[in-house]
Amino acid sequence: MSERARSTALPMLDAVLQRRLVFITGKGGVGRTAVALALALAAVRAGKRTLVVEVNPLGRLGEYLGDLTLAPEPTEITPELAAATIAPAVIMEDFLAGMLRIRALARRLLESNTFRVVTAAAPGLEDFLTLVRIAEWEDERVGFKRRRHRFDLVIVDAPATGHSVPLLATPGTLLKMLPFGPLTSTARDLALLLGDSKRAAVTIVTRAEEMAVNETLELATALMRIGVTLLPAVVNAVDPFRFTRPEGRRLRAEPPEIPPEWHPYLAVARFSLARQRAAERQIRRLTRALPERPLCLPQAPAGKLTLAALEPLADALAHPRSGSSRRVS
Amino acid sequence: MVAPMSGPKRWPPDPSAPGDTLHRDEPAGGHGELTPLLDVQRLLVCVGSGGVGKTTTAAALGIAAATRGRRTAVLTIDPARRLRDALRITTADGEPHRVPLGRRSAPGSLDAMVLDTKRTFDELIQRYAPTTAAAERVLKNRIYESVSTALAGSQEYMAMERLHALATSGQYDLLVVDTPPTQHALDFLEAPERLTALLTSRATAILQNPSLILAREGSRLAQVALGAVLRGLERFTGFELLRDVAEFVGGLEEFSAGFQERAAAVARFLREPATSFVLVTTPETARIAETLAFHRELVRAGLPFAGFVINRVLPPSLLGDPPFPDVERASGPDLRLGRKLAEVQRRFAALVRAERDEIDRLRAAAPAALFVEIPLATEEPSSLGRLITLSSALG
Repeated sequence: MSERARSTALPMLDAVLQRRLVFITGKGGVGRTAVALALALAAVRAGKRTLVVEVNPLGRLGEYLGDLTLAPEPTEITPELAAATIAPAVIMEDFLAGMLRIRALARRLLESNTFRVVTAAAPGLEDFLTLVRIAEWEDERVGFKRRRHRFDLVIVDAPATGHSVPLLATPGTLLKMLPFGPLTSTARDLALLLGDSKRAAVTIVTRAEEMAVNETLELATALMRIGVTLLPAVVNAVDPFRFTRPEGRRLRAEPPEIPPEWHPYLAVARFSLARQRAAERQIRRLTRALPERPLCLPQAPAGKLTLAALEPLADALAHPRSGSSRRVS
Repeated sequence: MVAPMSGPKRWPPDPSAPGDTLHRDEPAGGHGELTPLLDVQRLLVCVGSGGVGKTTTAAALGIAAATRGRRTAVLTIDPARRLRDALRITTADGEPHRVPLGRRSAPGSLDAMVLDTKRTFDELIQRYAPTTAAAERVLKNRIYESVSTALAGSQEYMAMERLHALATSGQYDLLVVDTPPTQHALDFLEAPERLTALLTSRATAILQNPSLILAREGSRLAQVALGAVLRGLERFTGFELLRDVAEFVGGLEEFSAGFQERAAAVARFLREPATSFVLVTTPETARIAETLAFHRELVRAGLPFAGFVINRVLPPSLLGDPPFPDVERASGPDLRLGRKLAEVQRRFAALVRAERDEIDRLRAAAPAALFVEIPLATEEPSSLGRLITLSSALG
């Protein structure tokens, strides 16, 4: 509790840098991957050797990193930044190959319809294996065995709302189902890791839109119930352009308090102002309902998302006072 | 910790908040172009990438059809249940909830429902089981619940199943359905076939003799290894997984013919002349590229594609007419405001140009399609009132 209270005073990036494992979740389409990568860039600048992991077989992380095909093993992007992807089918194959010792047999087994029914009947198996893999990367001790896989920070581009909660709840669910057994100690380690606010935390990415905010607040409640530590939420794609309050009053007045020859600008300006005010209302809702003030990020540049294009977002994360984050009126 | 967030008093949704007048503007183009679909079709399927407003569009289409006098039902599969919020559906139980449209819709009506995957699966099993006892055996099986909801494609299959049941009930003139976000437009259409294949595979035989899975690798070593894997999985689940799976799949095999027949009927239903696919998109470059790919897939699969709904289009009508005044002659706070006005105009004009280019690209790719543009609103269509406004752009 005191830990949480103290962390409220810290900017978002500092809160991330103090952890070793940070999950990025949120509603589909809000820009989780862009925010995960921007955080990774900012962490690398702060001297952290960082791994970004995508948990989504249809994800675009590799595309953003220059059309790379990512694997369930870290691929080095720069000396300080690596990326990996965890697809359930691949991780299941690794799991089976580990047990069978022959990869061809594992593949054959995965192709079997019957075996797919069997694995679907074992709920949580894929989620469990995913978390085990992530925890291996988080573990500093791995460094003694495989030096190149030592990371200071693992950022997980986690699945969207609907799947993130069951994923993060898996160790707890398993412990409840199977209080004894060969997997219990692994499940307990995972539960300890996810519940340790000094090591692991979750941040929700959202937009300044009503339905995205609704979902964020529901997700925050569900995550807190699981017992993970929530970092400040990130409001993505907030337009830094804004009219001040007096300017807004002048534009909205009837008749508007602007020189008559400026009227050709009025319709667009009022539309822009109305959208700005709607976004600010949603940011206020988040600020009131969440324990910590959310961080606003500007829109990533239009066009293809690349590491270079995300530099401004990393800047905004590192220096939230310089315009990208602001008190809303 | 988040306790203060509950309690609607803190932030009541306020559809009539000030500054919310612009969304009533006329759409940028294509007003009411979907009218022919709304008046005669029996099924509208909304497809498209995630986050483009499929669910909202499905709801607005339903409202538009009901307003035009048709008895309409909207089925949403979206697990985020956003339609539920807007249409005030209180429970996601798969049951129809009447949407209070008042007199505007008479003699038409609108029912909305959220898919309940497990319940639909239950009903399917009850319908096709040869005996009540056979149904009970499957429904009471320990793994039934996880298989019915977790097996890939079961959600999509059950949506199709529910649609078919609604269509044959005779209660409705028109059904509108939104689809879960997928990378490929056809994923959900193929789900019934894939799932049926899965459930009616040689599973019983294989599970009685698991070594059949690895029949080609007949070595003794492989069989021993397989036994180890299956034992490992049993330990993971903590119960006699294989026996339960064998019983479950064996139970289903008794009515596989019914399943297959049903899946075929659903597939036919989707290709009937009274069915139309509507592709929902937004005008960003990346989305238009995905939408073009979806469109090619639908056409190649011979599905009855009808038109595009382009959501959140900037209304070009807001752009003022040139010549634009020179703001640099002002001074002090006036100059600051004037510069902002000129910047807003410049940025908006550039965005409008980019969007028009993207929409033209779409029109060129599908010249015969229907097109409707929904203008970007200052507020999201998250209330019934706003959905009704939005629906007027559709027909």
